Amino acid sequence: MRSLSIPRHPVRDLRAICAVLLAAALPFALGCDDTVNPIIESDRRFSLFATLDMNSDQQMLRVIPIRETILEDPGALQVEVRSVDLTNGIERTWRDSILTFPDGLVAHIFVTQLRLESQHRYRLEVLENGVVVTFAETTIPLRPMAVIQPVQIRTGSSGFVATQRVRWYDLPEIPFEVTYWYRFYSYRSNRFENVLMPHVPGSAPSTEHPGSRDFYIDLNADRAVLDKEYSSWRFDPFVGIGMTIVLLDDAFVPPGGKFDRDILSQPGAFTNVTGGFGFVGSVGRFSTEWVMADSTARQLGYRPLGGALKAELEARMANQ
Amino acid sequence: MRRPILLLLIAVLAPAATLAQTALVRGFVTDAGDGEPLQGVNVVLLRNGQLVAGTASDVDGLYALSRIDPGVYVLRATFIGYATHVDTLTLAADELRTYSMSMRAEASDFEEVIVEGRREGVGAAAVIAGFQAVRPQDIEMIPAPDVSRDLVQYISTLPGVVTVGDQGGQLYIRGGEPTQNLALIDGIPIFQPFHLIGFYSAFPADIVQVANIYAGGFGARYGGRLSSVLDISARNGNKNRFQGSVSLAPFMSGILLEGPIVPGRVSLLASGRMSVIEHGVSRLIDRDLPYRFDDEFVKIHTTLSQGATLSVLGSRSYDRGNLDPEAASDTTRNRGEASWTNRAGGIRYLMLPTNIPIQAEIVLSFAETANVFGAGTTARQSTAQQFNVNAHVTHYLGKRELRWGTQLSTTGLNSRLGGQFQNFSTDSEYVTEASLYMEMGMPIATGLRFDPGVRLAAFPSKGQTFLEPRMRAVWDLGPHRVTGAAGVYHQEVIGLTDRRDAGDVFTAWTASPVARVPSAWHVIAGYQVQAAPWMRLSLEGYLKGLSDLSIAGWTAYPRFTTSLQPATGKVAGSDLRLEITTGRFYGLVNYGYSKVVYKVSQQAIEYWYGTPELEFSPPHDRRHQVNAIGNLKVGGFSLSVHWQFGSGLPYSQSYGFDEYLHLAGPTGVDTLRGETRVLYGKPFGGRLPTYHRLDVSIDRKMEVGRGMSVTIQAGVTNLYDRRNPFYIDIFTLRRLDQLPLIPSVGIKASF
Repeated sequence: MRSLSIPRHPVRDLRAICAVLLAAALPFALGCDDTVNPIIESDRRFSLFATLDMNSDQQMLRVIPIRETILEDPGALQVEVRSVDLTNGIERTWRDSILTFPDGLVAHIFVTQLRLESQHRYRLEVLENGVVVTFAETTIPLRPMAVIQPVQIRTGSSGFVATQRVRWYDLPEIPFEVTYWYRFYSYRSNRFENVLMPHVPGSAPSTEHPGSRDFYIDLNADRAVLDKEYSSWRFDPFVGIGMTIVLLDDAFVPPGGKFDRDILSQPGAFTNVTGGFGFVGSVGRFSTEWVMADSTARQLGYRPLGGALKAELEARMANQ
Repeated sequence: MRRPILLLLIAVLAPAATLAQTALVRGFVTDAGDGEPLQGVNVVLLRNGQLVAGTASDVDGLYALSRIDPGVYVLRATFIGYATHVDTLTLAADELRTYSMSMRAEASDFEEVIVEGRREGVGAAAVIAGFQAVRPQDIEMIPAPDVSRDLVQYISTLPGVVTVGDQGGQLYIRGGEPTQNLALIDGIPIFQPFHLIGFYSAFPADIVQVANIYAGGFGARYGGRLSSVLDISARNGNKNRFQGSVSLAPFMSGILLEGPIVPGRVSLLASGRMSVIEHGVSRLIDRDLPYRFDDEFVKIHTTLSQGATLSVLGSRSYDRGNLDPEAASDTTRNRGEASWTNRAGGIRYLMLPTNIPIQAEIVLSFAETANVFGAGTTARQSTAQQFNVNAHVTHYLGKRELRWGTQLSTTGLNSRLGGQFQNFSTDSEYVTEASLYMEMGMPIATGLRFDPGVRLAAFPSKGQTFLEPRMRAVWDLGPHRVTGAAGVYHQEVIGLTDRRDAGDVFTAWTASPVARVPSAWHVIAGYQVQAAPWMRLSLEGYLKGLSDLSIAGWTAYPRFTTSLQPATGKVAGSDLRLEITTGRFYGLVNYGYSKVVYKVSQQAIEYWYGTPELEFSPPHDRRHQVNAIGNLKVGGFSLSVHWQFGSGLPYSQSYGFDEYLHLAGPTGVDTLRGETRVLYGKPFGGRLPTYHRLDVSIDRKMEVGRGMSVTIQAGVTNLYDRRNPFYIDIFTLRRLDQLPLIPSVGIKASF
């Protein structure tokens, strides 16, 4: 612990110190820029969102101008939107359709009549003053083909096991969605009733044909489901089984494989748009339906569809 | 677990045995005028004119001289500005003598008291490895918009201390966050002691005896926080006569009363302040300043005997306001009024046991904070209530001191966050922390002092126990001094804030959501030189590492969808201080460099930025700071000037706004409205403009009668009317600035 006596010092030293301090402060006081620009200078002009649908004749594209404040009214869009089929060079101009949501938000949805071609690559462009400022591209999924394999029935000590295998050729690694259903003819309503199965059939890559995938339907297990979902299945004529596969284009794969809103909403997390944000993808739904052999249906406890109705149905499926 | 405790017990008990056949003298030194403890009094024992032992009194006026051979001694106590106290003591073998004394001020030396004290850590450039002691007279050197000064006005001039400006009421010390600072008054914690307006805290200068600030590297006595310690000793009331003051100013007005309840033994000190900014400054500058804050403080101090004192203390502070009043009506963003209330109280018992050569201190305390943001059913709320039992024991071992103690605290945490910090929408929990510490004061050679310590901190709710090594060292080499400190720290009760938005001052107190208790390590090394009797220069460098932090995560949605993400942090910085003290002039120039980097490794980071980890500068990363302070006393006037400069703080820029449509498969874009989102750039990738401001004030104290005086103060805040941005509302591009040029006049009557 030390105590020091501090002598008084002449004021002349202080003048020099003050002068230095003021000289140091002056440039800051006079010359500092106090402006702030919170907007990142960028050539990103629009956010685009679309899911082009192979099963629809009408396509839609949402064009959202990137605005500088949350409160700003985007107003009218002075833009042109067009699509280019990069496979054959066909261009098409889309028209603006304004949709107002209940809270007053105005959405610009550009639409066109367009039947998408499998495996064609489309570019959707937004033009301002004739110049493309934002665009995105998507390749339409390849149309797969289904082949129905014969029902496999194995008899064991606890009864028999029946499995239906459906092979899809030209499928991507894993389809976005696979569903299947049972169809009955309802005596009560005099029409066909589809009973959608709540689970996804087991699947595995085909060992015989690379690039294809087999889906296995457990016919035994499904009867327990039908007991709950459609109790008259033992009495109503059994028509057949159907399967639908939904395919997304190759780029329509979220990072991490999961459509997590909090992650994907972050700008840049899931976008294929140049000159903006958002995502433009394409989708196709593909279905197949088949009739089970009467003997197999009977073996499983179903009442086969017979007579003219069956003939008509088989003829219709043959034409698909 | 058993072995460290056993070692501690052995270490504590063994030294007592070595005291056999020697005597110990200890006691309190107080001011005879008002009964206040005197810190820094040199107390020596002389035998035949030769110095046998010497020490200096601490903040409680307590001194102790141990391992004194039996015999007759002259005890001499000296303190600049006070008459020397001399007495003869006859000490017997094994005697424990309690000898307290009162010292009388001598008017002729009074002026010197101001510059006295190159005591440890006193003076801005006398920083010792992050430690600095601040006295009321230090605070008076800083220009303030108010005749009644406040401790935070001084703290915010220190290099390495970052404020978001003159609004917001948050202090970031050497890279640490506000909720990582431990604030204590007489050993009683206060959760959020700083007011909404950055000039004020719950600690008016009038109630402060001394404030010990550890910007890092604090010793084993302190725990439960990662960054810094602000340990304030409150003044005791005058034990001999009633006195007080009343102040009026456009920011805050207050009253202070003190006096004897039982003359000479029991005193009362009471202080109350209330903001008048809503009707004062607001009209002066024609700007809406919807802030209200107040604080109250009461302390009763009792001298129970020559060797025991007891104090009872209560403190309350309240803040309410809207930092962005223009956005209050914007319901989409839920911008509303924030408020927080602190309540704290406790009992501190300090004793010198008659038969044991120790000093013991027991503190029982309660602290509570309640944060509210918004109103009605959508209001966010967070409360924390903490009970503490602290015991500190000091053993005197000649020139060495062995200090040990224990702390037990339990904290009740309740929150209703309505969506913010999703992990904690509604929560109620209790967190207990138990600690045992030991540290040694070891002068190991001439001028070299080494204080090693260790703290055993247990967090039962997480099932984790940590051994926290601590160390502080000082080496005096003539006019040169080298200092160092290091330590490991843990903090389980944390404060969560949405750092993306500087206008959101809501703090949610909660237990750390990550499995491990957040931790930090500090390393500090310093050098200072007394270049001339009137000039001191110091340079100090520091490093801090932070682990297992929880910070607000990023989403593209504005507020209220915030989740948490784990983070680590690194802080590196240095301070340079030049302090000039002459008879009438005081000058301080300091420069602070600091770099704070946080690293997050949230899974989504890779999806967003293409890297598994993201490093960014948090919004308190002020790289460069300069403070220049001058005070001149001339002709009865005190003129103060303060210029401050800070490089720009980080903030998040954006590309703009759009609506996000969640296309999770085949979805029609005509059926989705979309959610409005911010197209954020990289977090905190932008920098606000530099901050600088010049404040001046002049005041004069006039004696107007017997024992009465009036102080008049005039000042200007932000003299050249710099437009310093407080923050940019990125949603509307509206800019909210710090306070503009504000002239002020205040008056204080003391009696």
